[in-house]
Amino acid sequence: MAKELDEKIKFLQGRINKLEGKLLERKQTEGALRESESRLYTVLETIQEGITLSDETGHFYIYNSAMEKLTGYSREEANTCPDFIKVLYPDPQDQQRALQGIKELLERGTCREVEMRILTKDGQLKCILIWSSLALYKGRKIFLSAYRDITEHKEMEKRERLAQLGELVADMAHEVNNPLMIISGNAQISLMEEIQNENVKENLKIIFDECRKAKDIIQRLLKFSRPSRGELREIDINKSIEAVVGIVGHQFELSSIEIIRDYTKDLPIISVDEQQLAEVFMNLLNNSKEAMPKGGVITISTSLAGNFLKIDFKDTGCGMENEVMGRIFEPFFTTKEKGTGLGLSVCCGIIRAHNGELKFKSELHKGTIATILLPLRKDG
Amino acid sequence: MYKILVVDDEPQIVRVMQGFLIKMGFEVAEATGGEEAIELLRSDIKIDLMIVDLKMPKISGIEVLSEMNKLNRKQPTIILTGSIDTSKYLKELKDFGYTIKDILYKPVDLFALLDLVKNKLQIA
Repeated sequence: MAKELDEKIKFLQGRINKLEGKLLERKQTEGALRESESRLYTVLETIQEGITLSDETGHFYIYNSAMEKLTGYSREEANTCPDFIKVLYPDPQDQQRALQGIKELLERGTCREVEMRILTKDGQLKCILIWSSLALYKGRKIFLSAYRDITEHKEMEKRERLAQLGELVADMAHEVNNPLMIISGNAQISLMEEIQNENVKENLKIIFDECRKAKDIIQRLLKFSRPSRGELREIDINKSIEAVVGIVGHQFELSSIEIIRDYTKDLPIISVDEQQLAEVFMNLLNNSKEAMPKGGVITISTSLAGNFLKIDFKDTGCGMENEVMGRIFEPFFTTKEKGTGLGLSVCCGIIRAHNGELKFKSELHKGTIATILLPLRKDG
Repeated sequence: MYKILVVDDEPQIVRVMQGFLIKMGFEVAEATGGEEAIELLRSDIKIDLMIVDLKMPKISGIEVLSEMNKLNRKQPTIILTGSIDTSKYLKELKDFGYTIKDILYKPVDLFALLDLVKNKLQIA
């Protein structure tokens, strides 16, 4: 009896030992698992790239802090926002690319890295590079994606390209100015001769005058081909507008567009980034031109409006419908066949950076007035 | 009679300025490029004023000015340039004692050139 009991105890002891062993094993596994999870968490939260794990429905299982920082949206917001893809990628072309990428992923397991533009929660436009691959999770196909912010890199590239362009234009100008001087100089010398034929005299005068015009155009071009360094300079607004009109004027004339200048004289000098402002003027003038395919009139007026300098670009073009008016500052919104939809949103950004305002008034089939308000300097 | 040295690597520009200045009653010495200019400056030829292009191949306008300084030639000088961005030369020009007022931008109105020549030579 005692022997039997002993054996049972031994048996139970053996079971207990086994169970304890298993428990220890399990504890060790759990510890390892926790450690691995914590390692993974550290990686996900430390990495500079945005990382997501999502399924076909667009649900995010992982949406790390870098991704929250990049987009401005939290994981919860990303998961509950209807049509989040469309909100994040407002450019229809990018949406198309995203769909194409998903298709590629499902077919081949990987897809090429794609460059896309996202609109962050606070309205910034960022350029990002996305890599994705297909992963298996609980027997389901899901997408692992990494997002890198390349906005600054892109900006730098753009500035470098502009600097190169500026140099090219400067070199070209130098090359062109020599022959121009030879032409105008010879015309001037010839005009000093006794010329009987009035027509010949007139022709020589025209040659000289046109050379001077060409010189003006080249100088203006040179001024604007240099990339903006974001420097503020004191300018006479009428002269700045005139410089842009000087570049496009002839082209507008050929399109039967008359430009009327209604400048107020002796306006206060203001501090602006003249090159950026020129970009705005150029954009507004081109928009007006495109609104008047059969020609028309653009009236540019400058005036004082309280503590602001006011510039109006008024055209006699097709005007805009209310629905279009409401969306003109949206990035990627365009009514033009080959438009990027960035023109006016960039203009708006430039004017805002000057603490000014850009607004539109439009009447269908009658025309549009674009108004820029720029603050005067506080000291006068 | 005042003698003006005209320096430009473009022969047609030299020809235009020479033709004009002679008509206006000046004597003209010509140099098609920096080397010729330096050769003339080193000779004992009398020069009352020099008109020199900045950007020339081989020997630039700045180098001509520097040589002129070394030779202790002190005649007034007018600087010509085809580019409006003279900022990269401006420091060197300042070191030689020139200012923006001594620079004419191509294409130059010949009568503006005449005004500056007269002003430098102090003739009415």
